[in-house]
Amino acid sequence: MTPSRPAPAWPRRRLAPMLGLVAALVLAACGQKSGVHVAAGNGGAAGAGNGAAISAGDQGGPAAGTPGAAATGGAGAAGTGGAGAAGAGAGGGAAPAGGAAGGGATAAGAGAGGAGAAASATGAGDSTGVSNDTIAIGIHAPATGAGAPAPSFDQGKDKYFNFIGPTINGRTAKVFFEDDGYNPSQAVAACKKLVQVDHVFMLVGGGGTDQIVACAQYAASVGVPYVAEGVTEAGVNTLKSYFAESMSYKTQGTLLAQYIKRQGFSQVEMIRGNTQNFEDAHSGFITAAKSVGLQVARDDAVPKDADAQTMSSEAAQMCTLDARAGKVAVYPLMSPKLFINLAGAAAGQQCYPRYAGIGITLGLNVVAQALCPTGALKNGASFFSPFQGLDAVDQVDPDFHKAYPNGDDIGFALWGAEKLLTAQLKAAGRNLTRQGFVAAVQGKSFNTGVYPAVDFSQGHFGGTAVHVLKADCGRSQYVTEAQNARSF
Amino acid sequence: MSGVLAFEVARPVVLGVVQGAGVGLMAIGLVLIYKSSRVFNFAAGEFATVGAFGFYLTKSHVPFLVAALIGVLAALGTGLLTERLVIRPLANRPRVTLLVATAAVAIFVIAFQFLAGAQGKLFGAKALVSGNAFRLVGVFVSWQEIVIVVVLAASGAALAWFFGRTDLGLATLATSQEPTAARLMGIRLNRVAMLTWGLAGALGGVAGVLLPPLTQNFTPAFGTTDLLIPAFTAAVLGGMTSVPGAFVGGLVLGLVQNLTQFNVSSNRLPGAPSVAVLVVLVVVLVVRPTGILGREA
Repeated sequence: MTPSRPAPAWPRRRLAPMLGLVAALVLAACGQKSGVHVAAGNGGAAGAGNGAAISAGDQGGPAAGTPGAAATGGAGAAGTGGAGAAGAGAGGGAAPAGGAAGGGATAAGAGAGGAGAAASATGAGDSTGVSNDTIAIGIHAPATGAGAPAPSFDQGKDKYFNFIGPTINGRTAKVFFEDDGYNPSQAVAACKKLVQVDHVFMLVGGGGTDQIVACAQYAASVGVPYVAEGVTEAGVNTLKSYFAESMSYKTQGTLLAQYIKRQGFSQVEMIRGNTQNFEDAHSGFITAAKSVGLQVARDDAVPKDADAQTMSSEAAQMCTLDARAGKVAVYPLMSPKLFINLAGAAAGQQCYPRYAGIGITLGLNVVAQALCPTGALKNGASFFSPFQGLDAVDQVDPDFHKAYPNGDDIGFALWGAEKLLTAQLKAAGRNLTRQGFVAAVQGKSFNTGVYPAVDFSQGHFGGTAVHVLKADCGRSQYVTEAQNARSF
Repeated sequence: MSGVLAFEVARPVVLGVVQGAGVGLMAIGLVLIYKSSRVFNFAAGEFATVGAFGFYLTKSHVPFLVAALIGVLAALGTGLLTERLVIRPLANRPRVTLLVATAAVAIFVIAFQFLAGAQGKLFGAKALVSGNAFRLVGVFVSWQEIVIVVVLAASGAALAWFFGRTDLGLATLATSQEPTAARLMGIRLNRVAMLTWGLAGALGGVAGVLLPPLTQNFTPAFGTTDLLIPAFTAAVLGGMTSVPGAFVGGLVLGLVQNLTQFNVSSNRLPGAPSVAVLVVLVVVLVVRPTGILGREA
């Protein structure tokens, strides 16, 4: 005799918690969805506001307005900064009423009509983080979390500014550094701290696409200027306070396709981390590759936080017979951790493709140091970069080694970025405001010798060329293959 | 046709077996602890990490096999210390307390690695035996992968024999099911607990020595971040009380992940391998709540 089964009850009993678990996972995943963290950040930022710190330029009186209004409105207080040029909203482009609000109270007149207009370089505006002798600069970068250790971000954060001293129109730059952990949520938290606690004048992104996009969007929401290397265009191309100091990935993709073709390859594989912020780079490269006659042998994505086993499987997929025979170039667009696992796993399978790509962090020496001993790069690895390899430092800027004798490539990257930023800060004049900085950079060109020249006359993506770094495993570092290349 | 077969079937099967074997090694350690004390051991991942550090920090100073032994012994020692300093003092507490305590052990070991300066660093991990052993249907199989599969099979068989055929194994099972009666029968519970935790530590150590060469490197806490959840999944799939089940669960996990990854484009369905594993897990648990080879008790 078969005992009767309580059939109707048990599936429901089990399915209910399972459905609950799935719902919880979906809810948790919402926190990872692009833009969610930014939205959350905006609210907090607006509430906290920079208003307290906004003082309408050096000479201006305190802006009135509520803290929240000032944070998004861009401090309309005119102060003495030159009549009608004063105004609001330059940074965040947020509340058009900011000028009117800020124009109240102690600041005399002028600002009222300036809603939405950028302040002039000498006009009044938000000078948070600027004192008589210092400018507070906030830098966020992945000192941890990218898989490749980068303590040098912290160590090299202010070498250039210390070297030049108070030469930025009589001021020196004081750097506040935060580790963003290669995580966009952590990056926004870091940037909020820099803005709300350290009261920096502006933010600088040190690498990592998702982190740069997240912080750039946050910075725009609170009217803080933001500069970083060029990454995606999609999430940042409407931000008025954002400036890309190198070519975007999408634009570099065109050059990369030419470069790969010139290296003699007819096939290419592209493997990218699965983030929305790589989509324009992805589509741009695939289009460019086809247009130069490259066959896209494989086009795949891996989870952004893929584990070692997933990358091992990806390596096996990557290592087709053609790839093993050296007929295929592989373009990895992902974090150093994923790339190290991918290339390492491929080497473990006795497969050594030729790598070529554009990611800033993949061209760091820590990546070469991790992969060279495994033989993974023995058929070559080249990456476009906004800064040269250490082999070219003495040629392009001998001061670097004087100021930072043991400086590494990350130190040099920061050096180059700060050198370019210094030129931009100088252009904004002594009467430095956030709006003034944006206005001073917009439409101008800067060439400092380390980063390729930037030209913002066509928009906020200033890069005009790339340097190319190639792995030299004899030295376990990347060396300079080409400088200021505009085509291949 | 053979190219398609190699790419879509043979290669993911070979990789699935190899990766599943690695996960299975960890899963066996989890099952061992659960079987003997009904505790979910969240420290298991760090046993592997300790094994990896023990091996890779000494391999340039001593012969390779000696370094491997040091790695396994270091993990074994960690398992024993966990039992003596954490599990035994809490033995009479609720199981959830022990579960949290094992998580605390993992956090402590990870914090220790960070304090020692390992945070964010990568450690190179070359294969015990380098080179490809053979090529099958376009699939290259390395000696390291063969070693992993052989070690897993041997571990699974040895533990199955231990629990099924030896007095000590039966004593261990008796201890987990009825500790009071087991004590009355003369079984020394503390010794049994030390044995199982030591074995679990050693198995984790073996995984820590063998798995990093698959990607040529490892990071601090990799056992927890990269291995623990797959190992738990494999153990649950196979049955938390079954050593052969952990073996089978690891293989199923590896095969499902790889067959999906190779055959479902991430461009069309991002995260497809994880979704596939979840679906298989749910189906197995609905159809057979004790897991593929698990049994009540």
